[in-house]
Formats: sequence, C-alpha cells, structure tokens
Amino acid sequence: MSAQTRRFAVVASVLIAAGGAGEALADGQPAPKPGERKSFVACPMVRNTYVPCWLAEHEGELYYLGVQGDLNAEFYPPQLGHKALIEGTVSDGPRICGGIVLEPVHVSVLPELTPSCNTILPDEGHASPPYHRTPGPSNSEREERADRGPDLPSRPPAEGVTFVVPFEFDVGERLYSRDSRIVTMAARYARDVGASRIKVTGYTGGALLSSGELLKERAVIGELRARNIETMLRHAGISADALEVEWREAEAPDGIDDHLTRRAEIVVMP
Amino acid sequence: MEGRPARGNARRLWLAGIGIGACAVALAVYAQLGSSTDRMASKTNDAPYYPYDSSHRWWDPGSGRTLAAYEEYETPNGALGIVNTAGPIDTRGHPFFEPVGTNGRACVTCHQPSDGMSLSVATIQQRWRETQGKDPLFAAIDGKNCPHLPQGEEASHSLLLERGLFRIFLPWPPRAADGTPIEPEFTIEVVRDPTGCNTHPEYGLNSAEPTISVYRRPRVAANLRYVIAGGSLFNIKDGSPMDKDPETGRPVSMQLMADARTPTLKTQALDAAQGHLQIAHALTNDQLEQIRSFELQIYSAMSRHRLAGDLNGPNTPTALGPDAMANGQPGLGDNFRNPVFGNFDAWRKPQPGETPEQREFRESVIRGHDVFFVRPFWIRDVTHLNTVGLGNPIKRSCATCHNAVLTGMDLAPGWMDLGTVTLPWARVANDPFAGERPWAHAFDMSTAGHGAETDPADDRLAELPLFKLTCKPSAMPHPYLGREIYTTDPGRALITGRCRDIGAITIQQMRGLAARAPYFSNGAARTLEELVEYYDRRFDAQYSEQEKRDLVNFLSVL
Repeated sequence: MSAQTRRFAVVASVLIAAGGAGEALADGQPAPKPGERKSFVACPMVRNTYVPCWLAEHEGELYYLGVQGDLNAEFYPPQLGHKALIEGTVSDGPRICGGIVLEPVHVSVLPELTPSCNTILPDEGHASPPYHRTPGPSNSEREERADRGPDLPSRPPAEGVTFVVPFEFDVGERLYSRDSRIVTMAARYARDVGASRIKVTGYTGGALLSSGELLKERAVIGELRARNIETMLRHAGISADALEVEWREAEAPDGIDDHLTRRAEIVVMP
Repeated sequence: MEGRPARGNARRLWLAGIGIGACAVALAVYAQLGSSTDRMASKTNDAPYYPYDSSHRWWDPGSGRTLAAYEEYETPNGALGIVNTAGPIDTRGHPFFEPVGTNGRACVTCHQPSDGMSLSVATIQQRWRETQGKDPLFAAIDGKNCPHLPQGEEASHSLLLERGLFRIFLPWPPRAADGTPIEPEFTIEVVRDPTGCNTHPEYGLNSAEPTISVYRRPRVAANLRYVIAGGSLFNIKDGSPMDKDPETGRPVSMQLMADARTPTLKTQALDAAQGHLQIAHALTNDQLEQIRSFELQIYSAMSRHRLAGDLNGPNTPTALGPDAMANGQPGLGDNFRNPVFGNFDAWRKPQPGETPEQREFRESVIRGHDVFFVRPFWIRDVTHLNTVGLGNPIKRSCATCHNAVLTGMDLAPGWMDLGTVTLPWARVANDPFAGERPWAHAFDMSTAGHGAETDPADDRLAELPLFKLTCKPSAMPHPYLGREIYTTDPGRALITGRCRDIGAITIQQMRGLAARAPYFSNGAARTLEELVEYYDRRFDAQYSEQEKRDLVNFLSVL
C-alpha cells in the first residue's frame, strides 16, 4: 500500500509469529510450519460441535478456519455445496477441532455448485472452539456495529482518501454487509467533506495457490465491481457527475495477501 | 362457554376517548347478530363477536358497516381479535371498504377481519357456496386460474377454492421502477401449464405483452406498523440498494408483498387497485392516505383459545393477543433481553382456577415457544440466509430467521428461498426423501424436474405451473440450485431478474395463523401440522412428535 494513500480494509491482518518445528505427515508431505502461508481450493467441512467449527483438508492435513458466529464476527464461514478458496497463515497454536489453525485466514466461497462438498463431521470429542454466540439466540446485548470506521481527515489530502471494498473470488455484485458498510462510509465521508470527485476502480484479481497454480478471476469482474460500487454510491446520494469509474487488472497475485487483489477502491478526492 | 376475553390497553383507551355515541354504534352492530353464541357473548362484553354462523362475519364491499375499535371472530379453536386503534370507523366511502374498481371488489374482499385481515380457504369455500361463485371475490382477472377459463365453474377457480391462491401476473422481462426493462440473468421455459395461462396467446409469456402468472396467498393487512419498520441504504444480505419511498426518498423495509415489489403501503394500494380491483382511474392521494392510515391502525392476533383461555390482556404471556401488537414496538428480537415473542412467565406456574387441561395445553405452548426460540437444527441451502456470511449450514433455531419482535418476520428484507416453491423441496406428495435423511442425497435437478413433470401422483404440486429457469453463463448461479432451476414461482427473481433471487419469497408474519390457513405463499401447507412437518423434512430437524405438537400449539395461539 502506498504511504501517501490511506486505505481502510475491514478485516484486520494479524500475522502470528512463526515458531515450532514441523513433522512429516503420514503420506510423506512435510508438516506445515508455523508462519507458512497456505493457499488452496478445497471442500470446506463443518464439525458438529455445540457451536460448529469449520475446517478444510489440504494435502492430507486438516486446517481449522473458524467458528460459526454472526454478522458481527470477523470470520464468515464457507458453504457446503461449494468449494472455497482458502488463504491463511499456519499458526503455532494448538489445534482446534482437530485442525491446524490458519490465522489470519481469508475464505472465499466459489460461486459454482459442487454438490460433493457435503461433509458434516461428528464432534469426535472435540470441544466447541471459542465463540461469542451460541447456536440459539444471542445472550448478550447486540454489539455495537463497527461501522463508524477509523478516524478520517476532516479534509482529504490531495491524493485522496481510499476505501478498499473486498469481494469474494469471481464475484462482482454481491457484498457482505460488513463490506457494503465501507461503501456507506465512503459516501458519507464524501458528502461530509464536500468531495469534488470520487474515483471508483474495480480490479480483476486472482490467487497464486500453494501448488503454484494461478487462479484468475473472469476478466469482466473488475468492470462488474466498478459498476456495482458506482450504483451503490449513486444510491447513497453521490452525484453521477462527481463519479469517475474505471476498471483494470490488479497487481499480479504472489501468494501473499492475494485477497486484496479482489477488490474495488473508492478514492474520495478533495 | 368461556367468558369474554379481558381486553387490554388499546381498547380501554378507545373507550375513554369516544364517548357514548360511538359505543351505541358498536352496540347497534352487535345487535344485528343473531346466534345463541352471540347472545351469550353479550353478557360480558359489548364488543362485536362474530361466530361462524353470523351473517355479518363476511364484510361485503360497500356494506357501510362500522368497524368497531375491537372485534372478535370465532376460529376453529377460539377467537381472533382485531384492534382498531383509531376507534370505530364508519366505512361508508372508505376506499379500503368501498368497491372502487370495476369488478365489485374492495380491499376488504381479500383482507377480511375474520381471517386476520387475510383470507382463509375455508372462508373462500363458504363464499363460493353462499353466492354460487358469483361473489366478486371470484373475479376472472385473478380469482380464476386464468381469465380465459369458463367463469363460475369450480374447475376454473380450483387454485383459489382449494389452496386460497390468487393469480399474480407480472410483466416479463421485469421492469425497473421507472418502467425500463431489466435484462434478466436467466431464461424461462414453461415446463408444465395446468392453468393454461402461461402459454395462452393473450395472457402468457408469448403474448403481445409477455406476462408470467404465478399463484399466491393474500398477505395480512394488519400489524403493518411492524412490517414497514426499518430500512437501510443497502440490503444487509447482499449489499444491493434498498428501494426508497418515492415520496420521501427514504429507504424502506422491503417487507411488503411476497416478492417485495412495492415499496410502501401507498404504492402497494395503487398496485392492488390496478390489478385486483381493476380500477379505471388511479386512486387519489387522499384515498391512498386513507388506506395507509387505516392499515397502520389495525392489529390482529389470536385473542382466545378453547384450551389456553384468554390470550389478550392481563395475566397472559406478554406477546399474545392483539393488544400486545397494538402496544408493542417493532425491533430485532433474537436475544434474551428482547425475545421475539416476549416471555411466557404468566403461564409458567399453575394459576388459580386453571383446569388440568388448560395447564397441560399452556405448558405445551411454552415448550413450543422454547423449541421455536432455542432448539437448534442445521439450517441449510437457504438463499439470503446461508449466503449472507453465516455459513452453510448454520446451526441455529427458528428465531434466527423469524427474528422480528411480535411478528416473527425477518427484520432484514425477508425474502429467502426456503424451498417451498423450488424443486426438489417443493414436492409435497411422493416426497423422494420421505423417511430418509435429505443430506444423504446430492441434488439432481434434472431428475427432480422430470420427476415432477411426469409423476401423476404428485397432485398438489401438479396443480401449479412449473418453470425451468436457466441462468446465463455470465451470471452467478443460484447458490444452491445451480444454473437450471425448476420452480412453481420464481418469487423475487421476477422483480430483479437475478438468479440468486429465484424462489425467494418474503417471510410472512406469524400472527393470527389459526384463522387463515393454508400456509406458505403457495398454500402448500393446509394445516399448522403440515407447516411444521415441512420444516422438519426440509431441515431434517428430527423433531420428536412431542416437539411437533408443542410447536403447533405455540403457533396456534399467536
């Protein structure tokens, strides 16, 4: 990210310090090492613990992705019936639900159906992972939604203030609520500061898998993302005259934070 | 016979405010009733009570009657209460009650107080018998399977008579609010057309004005203060822009209608007057405002149950009865501080004078509430629920989707593909998964579609048209049904043209259920028992027989 440009992504990236020695797996694959980045496409699995936990298998190893929560949670689980693109960093912490913990982890549901992704694992004695919401109704006050966002300058700098809107892999339209809130935030900011120009850029990205395979999004995705954000901003009261909309290929995926290639950017200019 | 229900705050406020004259009007209405049940009711209550044999149970358009501040209507297991918070209304000249269109209908034709401001199939059948099918209710435009069929023959009106379904006819491709066509993400083929309407040269998809006909139940025109509450800039479920009120420019709740095609009560009234009432000239703004105001002052809920006793007023569970609806505030439930349906503390301990039968039933209702609220099961493959970031499946309870206080709707825009109108779940007879675990089967839509098409035993499904929708390669597929979907009603997708909206139907409110069977938008569940069975099958909830009975009892008192 550019030092001159302020960017805001909702999902915090916290790298877990590497450590611990790996062991060889039964099939000869080297055991994953803490700090190692993993990027793979797999069928997600859900374990039937009290609060379900989500896992995925890759090269004979089981990885823990996260626990069922709600829309305030940082982790949004994948979906049975679909493969998922999983990008994460091997943690040195203890296994959860039988899986090596990937943290941070980014999970993207692939749009096409894969009916064979249909595994609900028994709990097999595993305890529920840490959770803030039970399977039933919430037992606490609803958390204040974090939609106020970071402190923003009262006047955008000359290069503008950039809001990054993440998208799932190969998805140009649908946005999770946490991500559509970024658009709301950008529109509100643009109005508050009386922005003269708002630049929207939709990117077509991809992912470099651990296997070396490059997973590319459809070429049209960048345009779809840009058009979608344009529609949302106009719906939020931004004048069409103030909008500049373009789309392009993102930087080449390199296996590191590739989820950020699958995005749109809103730059609010002074 | 039990005594009259204790009435709560809403009615007491009215009595304090209107004085003797209005009371006399209410008494005059009551005096028109003739049955013995009526007379017994009058001993303890002056509010109108309409048993099944009352000639005034049905509201004829233009009858000029007075709608009292509180009325009760007999139901199979008790009574339904209607609270009218503005006090008695002289309905003469009122556009909700007058036949403002050309076919003799009024809004009240399909939103009858006796049926919780909807219309039960029992009432429809009774009306058919009483009028030999000549009531405006059976108008050709939508009270018949298709307008070209012979008027007045039962077979022509079979969907209305047997399932309580009206024909909803929508332009295809869909049009945006400004009238411009929307390029749909999918194509539509008519696989089966039992009504003949979708292939008809005048009314069908290939007519001069291409139209698709689907068949739906009338929704409840009460408790609407809750239904229109809320509204955010973007849909929390998929980020799409929410519709706005054309008058104020503010986002709306998008909870009106099965497909959320109209944003406000006024636009809904305009749409209904043009379609259902065949009005010659658009309603005036004054008329629209009258309808809107009226709909926001009407509340309905079950008020009495033959086993539970009074449901309205003091010493009853906090959410029960129409007074609770009139006095409550809309909002998100789904936690223990503000549960969707309040608390049932009033019934948790034995009460003085309670019969063993009453105690047993009340305990069953409480258990049913607890099943509804906290009993988890795997909720799976529901678009606009499992797709919103919660995961698929998610282990939760009924209250996850039915989370809006007092109505049990979804506080966010509530259209979801529950499977009631899409194969394979829409099957009722010859359920391929009967007695088995559905998750053991991968979906095979081609098999599911062909099975429905060729299986003559699948009678209840075969009554409805069947469409094959094919998502274009450039579009995202339906999240759980792929690119070829068989459906009896594409639902919200008929408005947006999006694959992900195929089969998505807005959650109905859960009040007054016992007065307005059948259930689901297509009337697929004839009884509350069938409704619960559907959920048990759809989600493999594995409810025990006791849990099913408790759920039914709980639903029956809402």
